[in-house]
Amino acid sequence: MTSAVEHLEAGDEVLRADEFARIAGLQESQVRELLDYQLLSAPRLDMRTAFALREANRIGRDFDLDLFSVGLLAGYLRRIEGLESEVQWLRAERPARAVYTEVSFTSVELHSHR
Amino acid sequence: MKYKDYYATLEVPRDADADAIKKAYRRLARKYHPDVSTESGAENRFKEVTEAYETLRDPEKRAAYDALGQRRPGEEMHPQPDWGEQFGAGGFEGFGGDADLADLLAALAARHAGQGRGPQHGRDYDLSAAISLEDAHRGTHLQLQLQRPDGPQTLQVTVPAGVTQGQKLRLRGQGGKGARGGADGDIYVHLELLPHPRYRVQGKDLSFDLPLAPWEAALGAEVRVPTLDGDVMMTVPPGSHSGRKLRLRGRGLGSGNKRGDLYAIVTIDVPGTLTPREKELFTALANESRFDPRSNLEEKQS
Repeated sequence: MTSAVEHLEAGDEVLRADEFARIAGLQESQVRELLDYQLLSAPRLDMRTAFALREANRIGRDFDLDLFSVGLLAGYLRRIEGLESEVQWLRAERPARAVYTEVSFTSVELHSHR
Repeated sequence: MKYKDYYATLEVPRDADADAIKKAYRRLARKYHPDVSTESGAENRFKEVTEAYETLRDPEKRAAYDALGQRRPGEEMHPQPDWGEQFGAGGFEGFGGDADLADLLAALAARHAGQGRGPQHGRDYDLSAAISLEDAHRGTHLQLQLQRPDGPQTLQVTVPAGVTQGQKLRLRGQGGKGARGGADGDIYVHLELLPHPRYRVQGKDLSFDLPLAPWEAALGAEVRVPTLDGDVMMTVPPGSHSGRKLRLRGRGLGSGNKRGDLYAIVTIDVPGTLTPREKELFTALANESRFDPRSNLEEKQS
């Protein structure tokens, strides 16, 4: 089967509630419930959060977690994703090749400055 | 139809209450979930545990299951003629001899759920695919296997040029069929980039180490460097110290005006062994130069 694909950028632009719920795999009423718990805020209804909730929801189904726990888990998954991308950034910044060699040294006496 | 002992699967007595069933499920899910278990056969065991829990957690399904009586696991069975009517699953006779007990109970539950309920969204599917940086840059076609309830299906997915790490693709309406006017489900493809021997990825930007000889770093140079679109000649400015990032604008990932940049990170390399002439020249430079690369270090110490 061949099908046209939509390109979903994991960005920060805010989605419509129905689209957010669809991607997160939740009912709109469940999204409202998470907003009431303050586990979500309206400016955070973005693609990144929707996919974190989607993953949390999958784990939640498998482990029979309630919606509140799923919302908490999604918050932690987003934090992990943010930290992973920071680690990736830091790794990219430093040279890949590092050679460690044990070297000899001698102590240097401290001279008092007058 | 073969009998399955859901109580034995969850390791609970037949009179276990809802709380005990939930606790047993969570314990076994923690033990066999494919995300956390390394035991062989864990995934199948997890599916069995989930199937048992899906029935025993629902009072109506549990009552219907209990009414089938207790048998040996794997024993051939046929529900009593009045079983379907008693539990609102009239017409279950349509399930043949090779039908699955879980399907029968799920059909019963679906029939109950269908009474007075609104539209039901079709099932979504999630697939993962790892692609090379080159494929991400140029675009590619993937053949992915999807396990649908009615059998495996091969999907050919076109990955557009310029995707990045963690990008998602959605095939709208290609998932499970919706019910009662609900939309069909979607297929989500989660893309990962395979590690590249040269480039490191930072979103849409790429970076790589650019080794320079000491004289190239000091005097500047024109050096040939690889990019995803082929080699280019890059100008290294004089006085390029180690760690300096030289940007090749628009040579990263992405497409059109959303393309990232390529960063060459300067590392200064020296010959492992020196020829007598090289040694002579380096010694002359050492005697002549007043450059002190550790001046900042000494200032901080004092």
